[in-house]
Amino acid sequence: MDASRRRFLKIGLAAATGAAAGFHLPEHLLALGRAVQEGWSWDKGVCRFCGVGCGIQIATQGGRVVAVKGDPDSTVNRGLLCVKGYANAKILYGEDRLTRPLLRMKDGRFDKTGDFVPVTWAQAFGEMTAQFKRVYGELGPTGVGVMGSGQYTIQEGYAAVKLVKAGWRSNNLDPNARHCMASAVAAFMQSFGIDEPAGCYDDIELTDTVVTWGANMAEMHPMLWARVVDRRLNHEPMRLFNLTTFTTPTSAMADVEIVFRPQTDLAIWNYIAREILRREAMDRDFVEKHCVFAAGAVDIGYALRATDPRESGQSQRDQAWRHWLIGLDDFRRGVEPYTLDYVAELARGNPDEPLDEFKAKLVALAEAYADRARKVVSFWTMGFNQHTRGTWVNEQAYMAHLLTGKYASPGNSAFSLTGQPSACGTAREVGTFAHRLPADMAVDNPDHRKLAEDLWKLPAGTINPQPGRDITSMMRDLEDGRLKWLWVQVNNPFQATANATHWIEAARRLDAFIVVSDAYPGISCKVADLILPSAMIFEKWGAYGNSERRTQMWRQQVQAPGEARADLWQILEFSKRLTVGDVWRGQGDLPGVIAGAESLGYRPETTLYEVLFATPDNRKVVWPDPVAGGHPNDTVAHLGEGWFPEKALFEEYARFGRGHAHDLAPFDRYFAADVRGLRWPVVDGKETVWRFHEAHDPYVEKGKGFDFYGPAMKSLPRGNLDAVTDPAPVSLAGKAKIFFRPYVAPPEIPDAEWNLWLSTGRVLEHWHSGTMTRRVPELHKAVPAALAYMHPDDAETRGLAREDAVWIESRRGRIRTRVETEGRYQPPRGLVYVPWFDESVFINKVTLDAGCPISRQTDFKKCAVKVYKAEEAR
Amino acid sequence: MRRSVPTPPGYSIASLLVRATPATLPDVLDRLSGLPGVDVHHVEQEAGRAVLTLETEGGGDDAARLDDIRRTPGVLTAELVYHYVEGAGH
Amino acid sequence: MRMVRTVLMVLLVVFIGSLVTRAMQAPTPPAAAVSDLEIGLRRTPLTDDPAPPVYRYPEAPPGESTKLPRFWEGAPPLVPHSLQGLIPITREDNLCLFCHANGSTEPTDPPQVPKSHLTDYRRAPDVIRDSVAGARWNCTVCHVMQTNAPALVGNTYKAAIRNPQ
Repeated sequence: MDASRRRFLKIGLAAATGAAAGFHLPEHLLALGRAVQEGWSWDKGVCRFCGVGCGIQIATQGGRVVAVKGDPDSTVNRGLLCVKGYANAKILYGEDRLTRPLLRMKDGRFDKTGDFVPVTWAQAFGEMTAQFKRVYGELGPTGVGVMGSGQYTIQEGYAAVKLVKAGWRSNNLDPNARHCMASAVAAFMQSFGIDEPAGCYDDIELTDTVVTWGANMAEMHPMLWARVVDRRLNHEPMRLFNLTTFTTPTSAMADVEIVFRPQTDLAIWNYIAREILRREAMDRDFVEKHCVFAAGAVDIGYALRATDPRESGQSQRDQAWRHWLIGLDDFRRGVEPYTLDYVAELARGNPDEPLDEFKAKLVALAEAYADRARKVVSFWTMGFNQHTRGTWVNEQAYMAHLLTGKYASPGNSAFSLTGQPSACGTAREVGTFAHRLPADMAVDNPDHRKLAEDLWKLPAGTINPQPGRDITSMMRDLEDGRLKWLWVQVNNPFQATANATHWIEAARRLDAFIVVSDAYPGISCKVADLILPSAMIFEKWGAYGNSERRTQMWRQQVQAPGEARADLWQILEFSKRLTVGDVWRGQGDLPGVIAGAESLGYRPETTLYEVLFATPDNRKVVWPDPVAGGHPNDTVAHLGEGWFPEKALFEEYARFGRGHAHDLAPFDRYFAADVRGLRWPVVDGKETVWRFHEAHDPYVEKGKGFDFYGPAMKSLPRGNLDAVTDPAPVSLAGKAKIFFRPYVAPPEIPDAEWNLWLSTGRVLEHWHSGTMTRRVPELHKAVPAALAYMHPDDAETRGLAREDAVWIESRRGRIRTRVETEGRYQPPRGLVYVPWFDESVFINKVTLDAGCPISRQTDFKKCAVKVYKAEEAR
Repeated sequence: MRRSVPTPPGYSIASLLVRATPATLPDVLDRLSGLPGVDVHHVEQEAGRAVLTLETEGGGDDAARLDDIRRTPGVLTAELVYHYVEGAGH
Repeated sequence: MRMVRTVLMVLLVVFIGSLVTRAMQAPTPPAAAVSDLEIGLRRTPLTDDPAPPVYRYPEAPPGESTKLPRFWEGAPPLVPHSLQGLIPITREDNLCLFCHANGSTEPTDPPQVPKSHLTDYRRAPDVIRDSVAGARWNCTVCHVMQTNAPALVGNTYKAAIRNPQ
């Protein structure tokens, strides 16, 4: 740059600075200052992080993101962001971004014992294909798998579903959302026959009560909590209850904090139900017209390996889903033992809290639900979902709200908060699960398979009817040599999965081939054989769906560094490497469909890319498209074929849901200047704020009041609390189910040797495994390490002082960290909390891979550990 | 283990808003203008504020230079306002 | 204003530890291997678990610390002083506001909340009240302290801040 330009810049920047700071400057300098600021452009987007789905505005200049702000026009957050939201700009620029494919090699060839060497994309896909063919040839579709994500864009998730299920005929596609929302989904499906909440965030400004239960909402859904606090400060009758196993920042704002013993949430709900009945607070009209009562299998185990001793005697572990109708009398009998005395004794979590005080709080909580005049919103997250009876405890939340008629209407909501930015929009709605197809459909339902095969123009019988393996089971299969080819996308499962020592060792099996696509190297990359560099948010087009069913989209703003490419591009490009002949021949019980394919016009050498993605219909969606508004699309550029995959695939996917109560608006509508996402179903251009409610949901006929029209599991036999007594199926069309679920102890409880509960979770400043947030210096410095938060008395009795190095050990493994007795989390005596964001404090080596047998979601919140002093590490 | 943050090659200008007390401002500006790459542009004596620029040539570590400015005796605050880097963008 | 596209993308390859500086200069970098111990934020083997170093939050009480620079436009200022005894913020007590929303106008006094914090964007976006809006009550959700921890890796983000307020 020449000297006069430097002078211009120097003077101009100084003038702009002075002007902004209120200095009095002559006009010619002010003009210079303005000239220097040209070239910023703002565009709307959505935050990369939690399930709140805050609207943001991103500013770019010269090919880089230069600023981020909360979008004042988003009704979700109205211009506010939490500290992570502001970091959306900086997460793209950590210095160790992955920019080239890396393959373990020795002597110029792939070698699992080698170190990582940069290779070209062509080399990377070449090795991936060769390994895929080796494993597929040996083990068939069950030997390969993809661990997908609730952080995939909607289009990426949809492409993954097509590739794995329609292409490879495998159902081994399961997301990290299995660790996050599976219990919530199972409970929605069982209670209502359809996924996703009835209400939305609007309920916050309309309610009288917020109960946060198993949810540290102040840190994990901060912008929603800001709305709750706002309502509390402005609406005098409002009350906040926080139910938790240890004191968190959410407790600080609550009117009533209830610290309960892990797992006893099951008992507390039954106490509440008992109280509702005892006080005659049941909304008889609502229950009689719109609900039925149900009970189910009890001895269902803990989703451990079948050989685990804790699974013996669990006679119904393979029928965990099974449930049947019961009568109101049965339900009464079920909740009868859950008296205040019994439950308080069982559930009191803080041994230093007087029992009477604890009881008074339970009474207050039950009163809030029972009070007919008091609107209630219940919020929950991982405390309920990551639970060995997670499906049950979700169902119990619906139980209380349905008994009192406090559901699906303004201000009354049982709202499952979603952890990830698109566990709803992608994983759940698109169906990136081992048993699923898009729009709530299932692979083991012949009608659903036919619908998908017709829509996807596949020969009949392509889709494998045998559900695949959930993410924890895939890890076990890796260990057992039943899964030998794995592609990890947009998540870090080798850090995120419980009982981790098994899985990091399994990944290094010589016959297994692990591919990890990520933006930054984390633990999963360390155990991988091939690392693929991925583009991040705003480096590609995309869409996410948040907790309240709001689908939001963004355009590409900047380019990804080096050779990093969007996950969508990776999926599409890899699909060119396999043909119909490679994957549609007969395999074991799966008959071949090549003949069927030929009658549809495919040939054995047709690539999966042509069959699944670059179809004649999709090629008609061309690029450039006016909706781009001048923004680039590197996926289009790298595919080099002039069709617009993000739009084409979105519209193709939307066909599954339109007309079936999952209606999405046309792609372009989400980019309209006045739109900040839309809550589906979007019918005749209008979003649906409350589902199942006559006045708000276009799918409910006038005169019905409420209609729980979800179709799944709406035909049940009858029985009593213990078993089916009359197998003749009864139709429950339009009804919701009120479940009775008993208290069941967790599989591992503290004892004399392993004498503390271990709970794990997140912190405000860090997201998940920390791969993004720990590369933002301000976020890292705010919380640099995962500590062991414990009660000062527990530390003292173990001879520990604050900041001491300690081992945290369970029967499965041990790690070292430091004691914190004065932090923002204050556990009662008997419990230690360790967050999992820190790859250097690998707490999942210690956790137990038990889970809910219905949802197959792991319980990360409870296992038994001991804590003792460690030598100082040098 | 800490690795230093290399500045991308090229030329960069940072603009800074510096605050001192009105009494000490003249001395502070004297000291600062002696630092390499620093120019003083606008001064508000009564408020104790001034606008400075800091130029760094390729390979320089502007984070450390900013630290030098902040640690200069008499400097109450030194706010980075603009940071223009020639040769940035990927 | 022209931004010259440079070999900065090569610089971003630098992350892989040992490849570093030679790669920046060679036109086609030799394919040097890097072990899995040299990637990521953790440089110890997955079987070894040293305790993290001790990190401390600021000890200077309010009024005795220097402001920390904001690192991007619109980012909430970082809290430079100790929060011991001042948190948690509860429904009734918000000690932050005692100093930071007391209407003071002296330049050396604690920075006051900006007008954005006195506005209820949801219900009355054009009205500036005289007290903090309910949605802004929980300061520590956006404003965080910093420990003395060094950054684990560098970050090449460059903010262009237009308004030092």
